[in-house]
Amino acid sequence: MPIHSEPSSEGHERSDVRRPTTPGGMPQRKQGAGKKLANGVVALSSAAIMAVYAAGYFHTAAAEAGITSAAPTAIVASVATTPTATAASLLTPTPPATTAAPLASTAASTAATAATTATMPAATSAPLATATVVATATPTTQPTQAVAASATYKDGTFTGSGTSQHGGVTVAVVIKNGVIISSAITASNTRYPIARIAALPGEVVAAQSASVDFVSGATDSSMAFQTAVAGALALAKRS
Amino acid sequence: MRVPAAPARLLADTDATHRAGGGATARTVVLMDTFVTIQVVAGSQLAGCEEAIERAFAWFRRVEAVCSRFDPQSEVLRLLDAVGAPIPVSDILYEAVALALAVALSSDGAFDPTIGHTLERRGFDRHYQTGATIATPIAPETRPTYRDVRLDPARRTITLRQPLILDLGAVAKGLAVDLAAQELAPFGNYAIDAGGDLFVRGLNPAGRPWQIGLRHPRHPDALLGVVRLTDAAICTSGDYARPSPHPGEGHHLIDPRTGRSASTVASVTVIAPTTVAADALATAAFVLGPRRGLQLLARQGVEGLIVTPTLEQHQTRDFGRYLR
Repeated sequence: MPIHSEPSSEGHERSDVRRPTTPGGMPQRKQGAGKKLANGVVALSSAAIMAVYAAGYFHTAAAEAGITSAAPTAIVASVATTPTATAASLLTPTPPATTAAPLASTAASTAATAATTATMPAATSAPLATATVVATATPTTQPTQAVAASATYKDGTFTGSGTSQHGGVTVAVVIKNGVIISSAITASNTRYPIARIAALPGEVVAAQSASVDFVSGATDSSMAFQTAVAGALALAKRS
Repeated sequence: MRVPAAPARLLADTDATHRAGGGATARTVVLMDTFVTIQVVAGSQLAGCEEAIERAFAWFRRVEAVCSRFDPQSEVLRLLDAVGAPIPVSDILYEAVALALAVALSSDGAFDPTIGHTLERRGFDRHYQTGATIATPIAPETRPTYRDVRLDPARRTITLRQPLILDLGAVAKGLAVDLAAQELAPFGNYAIDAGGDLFVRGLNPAGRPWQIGLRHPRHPDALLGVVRLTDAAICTSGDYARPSPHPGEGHHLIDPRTGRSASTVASVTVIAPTTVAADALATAAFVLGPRRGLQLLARQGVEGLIVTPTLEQHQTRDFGRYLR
C-alpha cells in the first residue's frame, strides 16, 4: 500500500542533518532549532504538566513525617538534581490564585510546593531532550543493556492443531518481523460452538505467545487451542 | 460493564533469555472508561513502588473528577453555573482547557473542545460506571466554538461567553497519564497503558524498548503494526473504538465544523514527548484528514501515522524508525 511522507519539521532544519536518537526514542533537537516549536503544543503541555503536578503533588506519609516531598521530574529540562530542595527552587512559589477548592490535597503541606506556575527555564525551545532526570535517591535496578532485536520467529503463516475429548482445532498464526500480528482458528471439528474460544486468537496477539487464559467452562477446548498455537509457534521458531 | 477495546496496547516481549531480574510489578484498574495498567520493571525490588503506583492511579481519579462531562458535580460542568463570569478554577481544569484551546487554535477549529453538548445529544451521554445518563438543558444562541472560552492566566479563571459543555476527553486521559508518569519517575523503567494512550519509560522486562501493538482498524484481533518505543508517549485514535449509540451516526470523533463523524481517516497514531499532546494532536489530525493532519503533526514536531479507511498509510518523515 502506498506510503506518503511529510517531513517532520518545516523551516530551518535540513533533511540531511542526522540527529542523535536513542533507540526507539524521540530524536533530540538542537536548542533553538525551529522557533515555531517554542509555542507548540508539546512545549505547552510539558509546562502544564509540571504546573499541575507541582501544585497538587502530595505524599501523605512524607508530609506527616515532615519530610519535603520528592521533586517533580522535568520532562524537558535536563537539570541535574538531588531531590527536593534544588528542584523545589525551580518552581517559583506563588500564593494560590484560585479561591475554588481544587484538589483535596492533604499534603500541600508546605507553601513551597503550592506553586501554580512552573517557570520553565528555556525549555520551550528544546522540548525533546530524552535525558530526563530522576529526582530521588531510590535505587533502581538497571536492566541489561538493550539487545538488538533478534527475531525468535521466522516470518510467515504457521498452523498447528490440538485436540481434546470434544474434538480438535487448527489455528493459524501470522508472523511479521518476528511479531505475531494475527491469529485465527482455521478449522475445527469440535462438538461445542467455536464461539466459546473465539476470544483466544486475540489473546495470542496480545500475549505474543500461546499462553492464553483458559475460558471458564471450556477448559479442554482452551487447552486444545493452546496446543495448536504452541505447535504453530514451534514451527515458526528459528532453529 | 463493557469497556471499549484499546486501539493500541503493550505487547509482551517473547525473548525470555534477557529478562531483567524481578520481572515487573503490574496493576490494572478501570478508570476513565478504560483499563489503565501500570507496569514497573523490577518493581518488587524498589522501595515505595506500590505506594507510587497507588498515587499514580489517584491522579486519574482526580483528573476525572474535574474533567468528566458525565458527572454533574464535576468542575467542568459547574462552569455552567455562572456563564459570562470569570470563574476561578483548579490547576487541572485550567491547564486542561488551556491545552485544548491551544490545539483548537493550531488546528483551526478541527479540534474544538466546545462540542460537549453535541456529543451529549448524539448519545455519548452515559457515565461508564454508574450508567447514569446526562442531559444538560442548555440552548446556546449560536453553535459554540473555542472562541467562546476565555482564559485569564494571571487570575487563573475561565469564562464561558455562552452556555456550552467542554468535552475534555482528548486531553484529560493524556494529562492523567502524564501526571501518573511523574509519580513513577524515580523508577527508571515503567509503562502506563490507558487504553490507546500510553507512556513508556526505559526498557521493558526483557531489557528492550517497549513494544506497542497498533490495532488493525478493520480486524479487531490483528495488528496493523508494532512500534518500539522508549521515553515517549504514543496515542492511537480509531473510528472503531466508540461507535455512536444512535445507528447510522458514525463514531465519537466528530468534526466540530460540520457536526458529523470524521470519515476520511480510520486511525491515527501519534508519538510525542507527552501523552496529552499525543492524544490531542491525534484527535485533531483525525478530523483534518490524511493531508492536513500530517501537516499539523509535522508543524508541531511530532511523529505520526494516519491510516485511511482504504488502509492507505501516511507517515511523518521519521515515524518509520519506530516501526519494527
